[in-house]
Amino acid sequence: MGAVEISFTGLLLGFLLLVIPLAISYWFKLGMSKTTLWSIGRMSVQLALVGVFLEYIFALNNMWLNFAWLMLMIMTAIFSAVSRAKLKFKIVFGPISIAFIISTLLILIYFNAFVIQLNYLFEARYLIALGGMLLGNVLSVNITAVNSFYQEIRSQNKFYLYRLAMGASQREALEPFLRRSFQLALLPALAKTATVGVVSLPGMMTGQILGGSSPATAIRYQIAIMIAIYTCGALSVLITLLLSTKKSFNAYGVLKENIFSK
Amino acid sequence: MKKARPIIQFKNVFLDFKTKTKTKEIFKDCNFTVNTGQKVVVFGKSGTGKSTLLNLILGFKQPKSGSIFFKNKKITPENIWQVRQQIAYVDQDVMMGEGLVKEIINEYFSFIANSKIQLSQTELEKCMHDFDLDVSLLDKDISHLSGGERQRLALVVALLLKRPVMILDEVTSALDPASKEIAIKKLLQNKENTLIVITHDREWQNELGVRVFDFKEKIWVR
Repeated sequence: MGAVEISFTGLLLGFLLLVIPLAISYWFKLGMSKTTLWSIGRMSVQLALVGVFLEYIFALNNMWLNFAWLMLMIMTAIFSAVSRAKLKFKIVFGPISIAFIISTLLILIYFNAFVIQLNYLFEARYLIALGGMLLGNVLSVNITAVNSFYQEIRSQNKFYLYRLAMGASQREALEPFLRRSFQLALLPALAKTATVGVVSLPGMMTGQILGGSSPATAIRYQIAIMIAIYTCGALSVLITLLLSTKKSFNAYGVLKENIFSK
Repeated sequence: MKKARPIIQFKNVFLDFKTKTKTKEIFKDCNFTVNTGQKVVVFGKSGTGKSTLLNLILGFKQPKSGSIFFKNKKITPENIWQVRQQIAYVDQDVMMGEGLVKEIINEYFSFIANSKIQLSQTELEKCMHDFDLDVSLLDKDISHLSGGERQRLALVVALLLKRPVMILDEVTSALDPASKEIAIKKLLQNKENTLIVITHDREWQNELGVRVFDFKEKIWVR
């Protein structure tokens, strides 16, 4: 039992819905018509291409190809995060790369091996679909964490230096900033998690139910993936922040002034 | 007379910093020595870079050339962490963190470097009393304290750390005349420790036994 196929006309009728936001944009002079069309168009083309790729990848289900595709996804996430971090490339590229690769692979392999208990760990459907879900979250929490962390140390440099003067080690001096940036990055997602099922039905669960899974199966997947997403986010933020501090402070423990890109 | 033991020495220190329009020289071949147990008052107009003096001693800034010595050892990235542990530092509008006052104090005493000091409640309360701070402040959120109260609280913490050197940057300027008088007496009380005070306040210079350093000319005037 699978989902009902969406026909070409059906899809066109789907696009027809855009008339509403476009009309709103026109009436209220939001100036968003172009962006709307561009974003939706770009999304459609990307998905169409990915769809073609995935058809092949799923059909071949070759371990190396699956792994290469996952790495391509990770690399895209890394470059996206680096370009949105307000720090120079040479400061954040290494830490973010290591954090994204380690956290995603570790959680993904654990998930496939112990939670779903797949016989074949590199099964394309699981590796790529679940990897994408983990990465989406890893990307956004790391940008929030790394930007807030360094901006707060910069804006509250007096507080940071006071802690050093009080005899703090580098790590002790950074503690309140680490705490704050973990909270900023992770709490919003947690708040959302707490309302899942009541306020929202998450995309994956909806997809699975539409795809023919029983709600019971879909719910188990949803619970497990949300825990995995949260854990993966926390782990990646930890790695990114700790590794990046190695390059952003001078030998005297003072924040370098030239690490910011904007 | 006891032989003078240098604790802080500047040797041929050069430091300038660039503003958009010009380069400002703060230290030009600066040499001076502070001996153990001395009470030093540094004065000079604002904008002459007096705070840079502290930043250099605490390793927050490095001289362009020349060296700074602490207890006859050149300050390096390796030993700066130990140097900081021997200096209690309070500056104007000090930022101690967020949360309850007592928790903030406890956190500073929980640093590994400070864990050998047993913070006694009676001593804390006595010291707070000396600085005219009510003990009930301990249960308040630090954001509810006035600027003057925060300043005095930082002084209390600095004293309780019992470090051999104390460096104060404009700490008494926010205090009213009465608390200023009390604070100055209390801070000068300990004969053993070395005290460096950067201040506009004339009151400090009138105290007996203090040495006075003119920051602009970089000379001792008393």
